[in-house]
Amino acid sequence: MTSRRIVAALAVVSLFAVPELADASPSSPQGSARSRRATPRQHPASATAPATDRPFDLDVSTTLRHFSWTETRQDGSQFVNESGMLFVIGATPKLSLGRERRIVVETGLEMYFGSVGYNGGVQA
Amino acid sequence: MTQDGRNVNIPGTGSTGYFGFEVNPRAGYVLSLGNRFQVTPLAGFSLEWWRRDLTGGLQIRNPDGSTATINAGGYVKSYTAFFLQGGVRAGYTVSRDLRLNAMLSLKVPLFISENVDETREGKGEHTLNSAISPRLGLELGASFHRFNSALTFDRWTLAQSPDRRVVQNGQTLVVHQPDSTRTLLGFKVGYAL
Repeated sequence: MTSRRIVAALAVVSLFAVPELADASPSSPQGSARSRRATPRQHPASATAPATDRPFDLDVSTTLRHFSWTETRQDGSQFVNESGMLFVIGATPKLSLGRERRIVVETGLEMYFGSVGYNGGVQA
Repeated sequence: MTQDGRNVNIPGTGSTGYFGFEVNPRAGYVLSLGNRFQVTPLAGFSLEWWRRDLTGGLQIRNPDGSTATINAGGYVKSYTAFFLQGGVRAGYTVSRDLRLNAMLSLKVPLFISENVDETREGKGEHTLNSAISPRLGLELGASFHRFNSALTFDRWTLAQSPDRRVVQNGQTLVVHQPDSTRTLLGFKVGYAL
């Protein structure tokens, strides 16, 4: 008698824990088919959907960058002003880990170079 | 340039060569907020090294209107900075192939070193350490299929370094790197392989 109660309680709890089983009523052919296959829901917005389609990405990029450098005296006046364009090349390998690929591990790498105008002076 | 106790400056113009690299290892966790919106808090480190080449000399204008090149030896500065970084990336999926992206990051330097090499002028080398101040980064962009583009912004003030005594040509000078603000505005295009 006690074991029947336990089995019945587990069956009720399982309906909440595994929602797919709740849909698997005998009157619903679709539901019974889903319960036989026991496939998880694949809605993109569901909490169990992968966060990304790809476990590994390598993003390569170029950047045209306006660079500005100013040096300021203690009295607040600027005495060096550099500005101009620099060229940047970059790569970011990115791993998406875990069952749902929600853990991201990446390393952004950038190299830049160029020449900018200098407007300043020398101390004498 | 580094600043010493002398306040007499000869103004001039020239060019500065830059070469540098930056490495940003970081990790995060993707949170889905609704059907289309994802937010990823990120944390990690950052290392940047760059070389600032001021060896081209300066063009100055004489009182008679003529120009002259001075300080032709010039100097080279090498900066190394190591940061702790934190940030958040947000993504909004507009359609299957189109996605809007944004990222905000804050980097706090743990170590800043500036090596000043004036050996071309017979003045030797010395090292300055700018004071700690945070660095802010912002990126707004979009990706279409595997192509992506973004506008980038980065601003950082290297706060004035402590004074350092340097002997130049038998004369002792007290030098420091003054407050120096770097602002970067970029347009990035990329492709996910």
